[in-house]
Amino acid sequence: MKNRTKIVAALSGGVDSAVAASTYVEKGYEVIGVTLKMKSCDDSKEKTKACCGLDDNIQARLVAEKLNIPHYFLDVRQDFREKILKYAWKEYSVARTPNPCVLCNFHLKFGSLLDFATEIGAIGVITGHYAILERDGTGSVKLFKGKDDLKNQTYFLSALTQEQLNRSYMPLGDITKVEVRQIASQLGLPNATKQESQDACFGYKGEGFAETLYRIFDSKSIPGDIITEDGKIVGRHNGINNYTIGQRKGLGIALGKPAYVFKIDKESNTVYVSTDSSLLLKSTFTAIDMNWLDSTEDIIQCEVQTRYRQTPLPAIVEKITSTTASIKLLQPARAITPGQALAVYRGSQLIAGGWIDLVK
Amino acid sequence: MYTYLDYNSTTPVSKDVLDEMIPYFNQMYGNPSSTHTYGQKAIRAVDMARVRIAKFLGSKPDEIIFTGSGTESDNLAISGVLNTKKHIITSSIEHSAVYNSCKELEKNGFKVTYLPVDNNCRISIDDLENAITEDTALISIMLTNNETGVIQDIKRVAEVAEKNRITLHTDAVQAAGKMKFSVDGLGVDLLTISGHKIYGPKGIGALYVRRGLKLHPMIFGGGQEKKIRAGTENVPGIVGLGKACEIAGENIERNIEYLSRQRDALEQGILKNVSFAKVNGGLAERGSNTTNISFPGIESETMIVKLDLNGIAVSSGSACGATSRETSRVLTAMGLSALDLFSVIRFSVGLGTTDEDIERTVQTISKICNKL
Repeated sequence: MKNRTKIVAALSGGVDSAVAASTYVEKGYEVIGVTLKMKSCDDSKEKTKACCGLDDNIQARLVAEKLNIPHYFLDVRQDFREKILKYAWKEYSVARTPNPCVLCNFHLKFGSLLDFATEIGAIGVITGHYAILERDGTGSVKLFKGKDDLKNQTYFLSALTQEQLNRSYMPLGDITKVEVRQIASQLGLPNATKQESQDACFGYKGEGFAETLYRIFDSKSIPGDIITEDGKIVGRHNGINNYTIGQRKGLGIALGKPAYVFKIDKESNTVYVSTDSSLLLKSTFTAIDMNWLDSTEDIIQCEVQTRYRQTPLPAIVEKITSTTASIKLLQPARAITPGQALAVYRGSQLIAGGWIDLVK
Repeated sequence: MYTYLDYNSTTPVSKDVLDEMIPYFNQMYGNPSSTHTYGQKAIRAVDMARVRIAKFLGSKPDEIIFTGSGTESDNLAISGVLNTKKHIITSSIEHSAVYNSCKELEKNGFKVTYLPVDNNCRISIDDLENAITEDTALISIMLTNNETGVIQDIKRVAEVAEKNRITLHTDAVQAAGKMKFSVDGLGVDLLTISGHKIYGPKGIGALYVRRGLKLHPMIFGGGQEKKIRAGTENVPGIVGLGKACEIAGENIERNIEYLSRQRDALEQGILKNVSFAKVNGGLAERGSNTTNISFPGIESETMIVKLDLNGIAVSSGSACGATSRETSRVLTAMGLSALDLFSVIRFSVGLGTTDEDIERTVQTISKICNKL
């Protein structure tokens, strides 16, 4: 038998990863399907979700059966808890709003899974992200938004390093979701018409993410005051970890007009609100843990994205050190939030990523 | 020549089902929990069966738990759902799998209400509502009765259960393949089916468990079936149940029509030829394949033996109680007279029942009854 090139396909149970895997099966690669096992059976009483992702596991196995490829589970439950959930919990506890998905890509999909691929002699990992990877042959990779950018997925890839991208394969970059579904039906994939999952992969109904984390890590939220910009106490909060910048709903206060959280202060355990939404508009902030993908200059004219589903905004990014940067938006933006991921684009190319730190 | 009219006690495994099962005995014999290729082949077969059963029941694949029988599914549903509350409502006409599970729980301090039925084998919704207490944890009412074929209005039971936030289980062992239903259409949280009643193998059952409902296991061991039912999966049995459900689902309308036609022909033939024969539960909505008839003056055992000697297989009621000469709990609950009770015969037709079978049975019964 001819020795084929081994490659791992991340199979989530969804249609995107299935079609992505199928393209490499067709190209003649030896494709090995792997599903990350992140969750244990739990006491979830949700009617909308299967226990421990069982439905996704079934779908992933049926896809592997259809593609006639081997399929394994990689147990990353420990890393998921320690590197993703614990990180998110710590961020909330210092009044920041974490983005666990960006970190999950970094540590698990393009971390543990890539390591596994290497161990079994595979060249890398195929994923169903709608993004384009351009290789120049010298080991340097450029990452672009996919043709179908509705899912805005490069934002979640902003922490990936050159080294990680080098071993990643994203064949869906130049097709659309509609085309992916067509391919899936043509191949007779069992999940061709599966509904897009809108839920976060982790969470409990009727409980905020931060609340869940506090429960899991057995820590107590400390109630405190909700104060307006002019120092008036207008209510009580049930722990700063349950709030985020720009939040309007669930504040439990009545100021006659919609009020927004514009500041969260850990030291005084205070949530600041205002009916003046202009207080949310900021244009200068710093970022840490910068991941410079394709930018040699110290001052970069670019566009930046500060949260999911936001159109990138024109900005100047200045390198301070090799891992920190100062960002100035040409026009102020609403609710720039410490702890969120920063994605830096030049046109459709993601040229850097980082984490929002201090907002001035 | 032999005529089998006891499909409610069991059915033959259909050829298509058997063909799908066989490779899983000696070719794809891996343990579904194994990582290697043998294990993968096995778990994928289990998954495929889950998908087929889910389609048949209108559920999601992950809501199906495989068990060793319909009885085990019933036991799991009843003993698994109970938590702090200690009252169960069931009916007086349940299959022994439910009835005796409840009897057992009564010994352990649970309170059980057994709802009565009218003389057409139906419970009343008023009785159900009146039986509910703060402490009611579970309602378990069968969909189709195994002895009379009478169908309970589970939709209305579900409305009451929902209003009072009580978990609802239904034993659909005798309903599957003989009437159209879905778990959402019925509104149940738990539903039992069994392989060997629908042309699948014996020794395999399934329990539908609505997402979000947690069950306490009865069997402890490995992590199979979401840790609710430990033990290495009966892969050939599961494959067989999956295929049987697929076939039943695809042919449901045609089968219902066929079964009712044969059942009605049998029932009308007997009533026409035997003046004293009486149908039990005949005024209620019934499943398509069953008729329960009393022949006052001819004891059930006598009739069964005489018919068997003439090459016709019938029973007096549940096969599970056939060895004991006890009278039927179901028919007693329906208020049958002693004479009617001791002379009851259950006929259950199936997909293998021919016009000739029906004719022969009617003639034989006519001879037996009119000679005596």
